[in-house]
Amino acid sequence: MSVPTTPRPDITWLRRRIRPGQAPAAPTAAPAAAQQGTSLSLGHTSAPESTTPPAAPASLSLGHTPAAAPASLELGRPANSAAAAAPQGASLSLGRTTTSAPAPAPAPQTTQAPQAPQATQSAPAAAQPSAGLVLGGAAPASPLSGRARKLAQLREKSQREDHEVSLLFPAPGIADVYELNLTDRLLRLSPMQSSVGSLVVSGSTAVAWESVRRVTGGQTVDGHKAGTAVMTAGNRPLVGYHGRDALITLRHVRSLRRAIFINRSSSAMGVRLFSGQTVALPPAADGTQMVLLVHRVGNVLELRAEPVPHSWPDVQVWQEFDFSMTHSAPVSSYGR
Amino acid sequence: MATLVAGANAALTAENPGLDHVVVGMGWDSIPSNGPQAELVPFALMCDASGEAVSNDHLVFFNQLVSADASMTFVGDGDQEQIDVQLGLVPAEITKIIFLAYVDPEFRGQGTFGSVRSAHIRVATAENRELVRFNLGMDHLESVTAMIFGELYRHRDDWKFRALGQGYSTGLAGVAKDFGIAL
Repeated sequence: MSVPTTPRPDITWLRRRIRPGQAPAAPTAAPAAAQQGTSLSLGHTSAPESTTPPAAPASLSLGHTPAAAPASLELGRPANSAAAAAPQGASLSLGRTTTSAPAPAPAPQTTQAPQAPQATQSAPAAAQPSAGLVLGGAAPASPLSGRARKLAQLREKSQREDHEVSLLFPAPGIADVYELNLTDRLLRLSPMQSSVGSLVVSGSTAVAWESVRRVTGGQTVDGHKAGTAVMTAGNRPLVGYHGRDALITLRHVRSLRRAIFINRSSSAMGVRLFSGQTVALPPAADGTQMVLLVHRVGNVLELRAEPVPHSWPDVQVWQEFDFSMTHSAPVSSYGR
Repeated sequence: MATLVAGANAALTAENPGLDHVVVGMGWDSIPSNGPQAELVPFALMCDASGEAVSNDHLVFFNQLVSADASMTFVGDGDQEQIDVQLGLVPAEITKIIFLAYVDPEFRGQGTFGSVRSAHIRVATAENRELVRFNLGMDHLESVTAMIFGELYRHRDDWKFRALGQGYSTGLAGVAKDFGIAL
């Protein structure tokens, strides 16, 4: 079969979107054609950047074809401008449909009629619900840029993050309570008090902690350690001893889930904040000792006195409060 | 994009009509250390006409991510800290929003800005188009433990930004005293 080598005289017209010298379509023809059209689009269709709406009723095209070609199946990707969004009546698109924001007045590239009337005509058509099947990523057009959208998501996440605090029942603050005991069992710190400097617990003999990732460890005032330490960006442990004081690094309070402080001595335990405010816990009496449970709820810390039998060893206290020490996997298990 | 010097100001909404949302980014570069090191905390507070913080609910930092009126949001928790300000939602009583960083008053040794090699604050649009930037001078800061980087403030019906770079040797406690924050 011989292939004709003579260039077709109409090839220029085929490559262009619009026949030269063609009169602009009547403005009202576009929406009407859009509603009637039963087009199948399977790929990339470069819609005209000029806003002439493609009037393609029952169209089937297999490549880049002029939008005005009748009876064509389109395998191209419809990069729809506001005008191209108009023909959505009963269409099938298998390509990625890239929707753009409502026509930011594209510059005319061909000899076209003024665009304003067409834009106003295509707007109601775009508002019509599509009866078509779109198999590409046809996300609705958003006026936000990618970064602005991400910011909006972050803002929403931030607003959700601490919402549980508003659901908490009222509780006294550290200024309202002199001692945590069987009568005044609980106090709640403010977001500011929960995040500045260090929470210093003096008089404790052992501490155990659990991070938000459930990394759990423990330490005694003598330096014995169990479980896993949680280190912070400032190269300090999240919870640990400094001399005889147990500390929580509040700069990283959001990494903490809870901590428990045990006092086996005969003196009281004290809690001190950066602001200088303090609260005390009584020493063991009548076979009962008070342990201090520090629990983070959203962006606030709750300090709670919990009575446990004085005869219980530390391990039993951990078990009672469900602290289960975690251990780092041995190096030999790496890569298995 | 304009780069400011300390004390200079720049019109934001007057120069950018329709601007109702800015992102204030604060960044710094510290000398790395294997041992315990100073940790800077970015912080924003909303002040009324008296120049004091309206309340503790009008602060935004890592542990209070959204202000009471939801106009300011803390986004990001890396070296580049960002605070998102929706200017249209800022109540009329707020006359300025101050952006600062303090060295966390850690019990085991606080540290100072002396370990900070460079720092900046910048104001950008939601699309990250930088409107204005201020690079802070980092000389002789061995005793500085808090620093006001800059402020957004109302000027008639517009918002402007002023570069400050004002240091405190009294840390967050000094800032709290000046602006009436309850610690």
